[in-house]
Amino acid sequence: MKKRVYLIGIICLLVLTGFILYHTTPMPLKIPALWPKPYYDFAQNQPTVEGFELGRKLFYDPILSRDSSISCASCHFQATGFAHVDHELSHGIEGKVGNRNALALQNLIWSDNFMWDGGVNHLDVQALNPITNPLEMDETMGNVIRKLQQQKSYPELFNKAFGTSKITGQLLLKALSQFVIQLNSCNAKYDKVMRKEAAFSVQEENGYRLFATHCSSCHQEPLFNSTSFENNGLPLDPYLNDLGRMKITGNPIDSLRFKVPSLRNCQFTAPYMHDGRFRSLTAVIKHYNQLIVNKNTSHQLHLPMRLSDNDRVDLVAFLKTLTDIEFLFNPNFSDPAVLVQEK
Amino acid sequence: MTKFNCLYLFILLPLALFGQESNSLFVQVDYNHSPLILGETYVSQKGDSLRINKFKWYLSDLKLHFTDGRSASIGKKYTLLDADSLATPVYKIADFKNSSTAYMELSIGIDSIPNTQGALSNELDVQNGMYWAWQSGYINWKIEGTSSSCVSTHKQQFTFHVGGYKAKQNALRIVQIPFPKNAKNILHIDLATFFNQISLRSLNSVQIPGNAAMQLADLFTKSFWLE
Repeated sequence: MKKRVYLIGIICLLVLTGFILYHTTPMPLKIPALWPKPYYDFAQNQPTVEGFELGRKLFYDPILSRDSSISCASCHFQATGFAHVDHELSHGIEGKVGNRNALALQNLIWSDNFMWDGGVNHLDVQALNPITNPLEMDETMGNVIRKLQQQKSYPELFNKAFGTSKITGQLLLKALSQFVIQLNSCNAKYDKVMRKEAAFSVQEENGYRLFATHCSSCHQEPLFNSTSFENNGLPLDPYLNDLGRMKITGNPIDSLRFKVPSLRNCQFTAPYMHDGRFRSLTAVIKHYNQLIVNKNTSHQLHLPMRLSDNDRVDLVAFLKTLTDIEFLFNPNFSDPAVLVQEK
Repeated sequence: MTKFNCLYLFILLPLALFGQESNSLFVQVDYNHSPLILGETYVSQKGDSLRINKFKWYLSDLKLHFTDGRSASIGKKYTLLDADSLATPVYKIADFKNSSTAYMELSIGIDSIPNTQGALSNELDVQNGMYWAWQSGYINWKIEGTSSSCVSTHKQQFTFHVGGYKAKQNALRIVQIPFPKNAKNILHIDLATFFNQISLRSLNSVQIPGNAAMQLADLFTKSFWLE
């Protein structure tokens, strides 16, 4: 009888210590007023400080690639809106070059699809692409998990974040989501003007007016994107032969249609378009200004833009008000290993 | 000890004799009515000489329909099976109470709900290699191997990764299989039936959702039978 009491006592103690060891700190997201409701289901992956820090470490760790040479951050650099500066196409291990321009990572919780063709239907499974793509990290999920499990730090960090030191594909992907769901850019000059904390210059004001007339049917405020896929009149690159959305739907109507990316922080996310063919915002605006439409071009572009040189400059001035310095240089989003070294 | 014997004699034994007998459902992968051997050379009725190196598939929503109109779900909601790791040729996948069973119903693949729920666990974990990266969704079943008929593919490989959950790409197949008299409760999947229906020279690689995948899914259903 006495033995049983001891046993119950020990079990209670074990459960209690487990409870103390697995205690997460909530990290609620600040959703700006008047913004739409996020699409991401936080109930399935509640934001925590422990999860965020684990995801952040993974994001900057080249262990995710086959030869441990590149990390997520290799193609998603914070100061350029987590896009791949100066690279038309994403890069992989052993100098391999991918098929598409790495997208900026920001405000992803408002997206219901990912990648240029929208082939990915949930943020949690997006990271499977770069990890397993032979032209990018060229690794298998099984291998990544084996490598992580053998490390000293990771099993403990997974335990802190998820209450188990047994790493699985599910937890690895949820950990990466824990980091990227916090990458939200909502404090650009544009936002301050909307909140009446700042004012546009005359140039920016004119640019905003032009934007509303010529751009906003696809790049819709406040996220400056849309959930549709559009053909913006770019001729097919015969080398890449990328048909975009059609690869996913199999529908010829979707040929050469691509995601409408957000314009937030576009001052720094160059080069532009799915294949990075334009190096500057001026080149992008010139494309729309001179666009020769055909029957496949999205209907929003059928009216020619024909901006004067001055108007083009003003439009760029407005686009620069979408730059969110606080986001681009937020130390919480930077490489945690670098911080440790600096200390 | 005596206590246990009494219990056995007076309660468990009569139950076992007169009550509902517990039973098990097994699965067995065959090629032409014999257990499949991975890497073995087979010849299909179409004349293709072929070797199967990999066969993985999801079985889900197993359900028994009884002669009195009742039905019962058995086993796990989703079971991932791999021909390479089945411990024995005849592999147990579920238990059920014996009753007069008319037919069995099962799904080959994963229904649409988990396909849109992101990263899931256990049988549905992406690390099982049954989830597409570039286009979200589960691979319902995959068969890989080589054949001298595959003259146009790398290393003469054939690769069938069949899946797709969206309306016009749905490759999930629900099959109903009648229970034979004196059933041994072995669900057979005879891959010969599949390869006898296709010509590997012209059809050797399907790895995306769409019409071809849906046609293969239809053909695959014919490989299932109950012993």
